[in-house]
Amino acid sequence: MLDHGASNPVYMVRGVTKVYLPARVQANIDIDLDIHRGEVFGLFGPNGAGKTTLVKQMAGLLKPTSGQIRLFGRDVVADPQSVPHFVSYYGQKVLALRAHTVREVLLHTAVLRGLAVAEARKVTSELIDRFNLGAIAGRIMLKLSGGQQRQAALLASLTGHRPVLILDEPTNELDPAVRRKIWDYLWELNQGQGTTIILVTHNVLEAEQVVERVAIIDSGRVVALGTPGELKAEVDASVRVEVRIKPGVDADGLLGSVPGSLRLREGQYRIAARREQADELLGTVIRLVGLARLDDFRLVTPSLEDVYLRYTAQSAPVSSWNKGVSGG
Amino acid sequence: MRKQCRDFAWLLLGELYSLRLAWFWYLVHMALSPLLNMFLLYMYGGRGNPQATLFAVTGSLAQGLTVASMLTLGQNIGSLKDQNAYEHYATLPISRLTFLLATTTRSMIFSVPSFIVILVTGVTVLRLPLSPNALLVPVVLVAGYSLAALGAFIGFYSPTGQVASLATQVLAGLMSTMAPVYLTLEQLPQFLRVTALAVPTTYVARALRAALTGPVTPALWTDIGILLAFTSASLWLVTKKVDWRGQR
Repeated sequence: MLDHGASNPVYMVRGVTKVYLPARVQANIDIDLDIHRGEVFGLFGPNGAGKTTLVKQMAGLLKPTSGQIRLFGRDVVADPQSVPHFVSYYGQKVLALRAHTVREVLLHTAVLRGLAVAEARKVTSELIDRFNLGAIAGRIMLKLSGGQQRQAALLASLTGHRPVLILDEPTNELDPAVRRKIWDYLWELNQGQGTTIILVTHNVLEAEQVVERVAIIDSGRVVALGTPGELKAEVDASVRVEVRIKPGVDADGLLGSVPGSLRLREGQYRIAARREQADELLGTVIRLVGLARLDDFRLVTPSLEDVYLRYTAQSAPVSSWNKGVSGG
Repeated sequence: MRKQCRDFAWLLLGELYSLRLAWFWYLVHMALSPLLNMFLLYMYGGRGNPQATLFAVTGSLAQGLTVASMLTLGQNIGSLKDQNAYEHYATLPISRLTFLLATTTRSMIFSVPSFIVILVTGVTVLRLPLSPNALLVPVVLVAGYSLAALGAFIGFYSPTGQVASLATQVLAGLMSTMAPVYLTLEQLPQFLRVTALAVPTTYVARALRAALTGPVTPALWTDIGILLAFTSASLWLVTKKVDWRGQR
């Protein structure tokens, strides 16, 4: 649903620096960023990188030390109260409405976002049905598990038909089935209503399925910005073939001498090659081993997580990705 | 204005849900503390002294209406900030004034049982002759909102909920002792007689005494006017001039 076009960006962030006093901790340093209308934008980075600080400033919850943030052309720093009319924000700590039931959390939030009461009731019921929350809809938030509370608060942030959603770690503490439903719903909102979604997470593998553009933040700075494809290409132009050979076959004899091969364990090899050599490599593996003796094999390109790890201070563990690539 | 009224109603309803969690302790906190205060003062100097009894009763009513509301508001906002839960309200398109009024109205509603208990006890047990006039209701309303801005100010500027709690309690003590709430103006030290003029609880206590004990007088209207002016100005300051965003 990306609409880069000639339209103005939804958010324009320029030179934003945030210093927390009195310790003078620099949480954001000179950040420039544009968020385009209708895109799903991922903001990735390790804990303490400055992601939440940045989106809180974008949501008008924190005042930048310096710099400018514009939302649909409006100055967020000078007029933070205009933000809630366009943006729905979901933060990491959610236990604001402890005495409300799940249904009341959704209903009250929807009404306070300006929906007519009848419409708010309808939206509430739809979300409760869609996410199978009927059994806990009448229970008080304080009596629910952490995951259930987060789910209710997250769904509340999806009420009100705002054109921009800022979701800070939305799937934390949620079980895999619920996470899948949430991603599907967000995707529908983006595709169906053109909702711009800014997603803060360090669950890169999960978010990779939905994000269209990514910024990676580390130590308060944007260290990488682009589409997943662009960033992956920047990190590495290589591919790898992961091979598992059936027991009893001399895997070392067959694959040990292939350039770029790395023995992972008995019967398992990873062979890296440049992207343009992928066809040739697959052919070589099949010719050497034979399909009958192959238990499993797959061609893998770098993931967004590899990009993330490469650009942040946590890059060391993935050095094996490049191991064996000649001339890559 | 229609939106503000609707927001107020829904915010207030949400605030009242908190009764589900600890209604008993809210009641004890709001009712017992001023009641015990009143008995202490009565036993200390009120027996056989109608004027001292009147000050004990009206002072306790003023305490329950104003100071307890301020305490609740400051501590509530501080605690919301502590849990980052204030974010929930800050990201909704509601006015700050509506949020403050809803939270303060909740405190006022919670103080109604205390008000009734103290009043009934004053009349039936302490034999205090009362003849309330028509301005009692507006006095109670304006008294309840009079320190709301102060509570909000402390709540927003305190770095933690714990600091907000301590600061409001210190201020609560000052508001009761720096004004002729339990004592007459003449019983206060000389310097407090001057500074008391700047303390809203002075006018709350005086207006309550007047509204409970006789006909409507110009002085009562003046006290209500002063309280209205102070409340409006302080709420305007907090909603317009205080930056509600986190700074730290």
